Amino acid sequence: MNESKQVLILIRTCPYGMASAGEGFRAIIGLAGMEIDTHAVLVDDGVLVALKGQLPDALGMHKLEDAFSQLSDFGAKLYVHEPSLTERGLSADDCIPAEVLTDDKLRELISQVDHVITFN
Amino acid sequence: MIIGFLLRTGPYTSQNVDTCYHLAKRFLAKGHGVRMYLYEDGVINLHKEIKSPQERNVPEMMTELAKAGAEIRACGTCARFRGIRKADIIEEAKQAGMVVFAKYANECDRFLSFGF
Amino acid sequence: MENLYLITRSTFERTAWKLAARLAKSGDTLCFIQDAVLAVKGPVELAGKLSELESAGVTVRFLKEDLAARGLSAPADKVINYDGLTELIENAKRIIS
Repeated sequence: MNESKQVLILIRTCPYGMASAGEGFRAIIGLAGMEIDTHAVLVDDGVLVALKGQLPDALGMHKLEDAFSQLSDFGAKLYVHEPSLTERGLSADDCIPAEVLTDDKLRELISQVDHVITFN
Repeated sequence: MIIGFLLRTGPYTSQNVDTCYHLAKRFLAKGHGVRMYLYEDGVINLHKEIKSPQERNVPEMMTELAKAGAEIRACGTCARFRGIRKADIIEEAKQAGMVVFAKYANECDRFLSFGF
Repeated sequence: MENLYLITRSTFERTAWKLAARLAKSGDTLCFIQDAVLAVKGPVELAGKLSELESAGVTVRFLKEDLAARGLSAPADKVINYDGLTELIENAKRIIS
């Protein structure tokens, strides 16, 4: 195999309504588990994935807040897009620990990776 | 050059599989490698029992790509969650885990994602 | 080309185009395919943003086959076919959808 690529996974949808965030999580740990530098970025409605206080038990679904809180254990890094939070009346304080990205910081991160893979 | 595709939607529901087919066909004709990882409902595109009278046949389109050199793999977990067995998918493709998805991310020069 | 932003969903129904519009910089390309070719019709907010981006050095393209399928058209110099899209992908460092 060639030297490892750097991959940015973009999660763009709200959790639970669509499986995208959960399936994106599986992709992130799959990549990180293979020693790929994996950056998980929550943008648009995807920022809801990081919101604290999720109670999906009544839906019979796994709590994505907990799953994404554990990303660093798998060697992946979590980021949240600040303008997407602001648009939704949220702030980093409402979220699980994640690096906050402005548009400039997100642009810079994109410029450092080989692939951007989207879960929308 | 090797071009990777992540396809997350099924046949006859979204145009995604058609877009992937038209692009992949051209990349193969230009001598590029193609790797396609079918994820979530994307695995259904490989179901060999799909019948489509008077319409384009998606698994046949996938077979055509594979015969022209595309490597096509379907997420095994996604297939199980949709009741698709190994024997249900076209012979030119296989089920494979996230290890293969990671391998594709590493070996591809370009990577396209098609979702919702 | 640095980044190719590939937009696939209706620009009226969905807001996926907004992230591309806010991140795209000189040297990037925004390409509208599938239902996103509706971008030729708006919304107004998008039309304004696209001309702004073009002045800033961003290239805007629409996929011919998807326009034609929907009975839509775009200025000829902004229309590419599947072969053209293949080239855009070859020439982009990364593709963002």
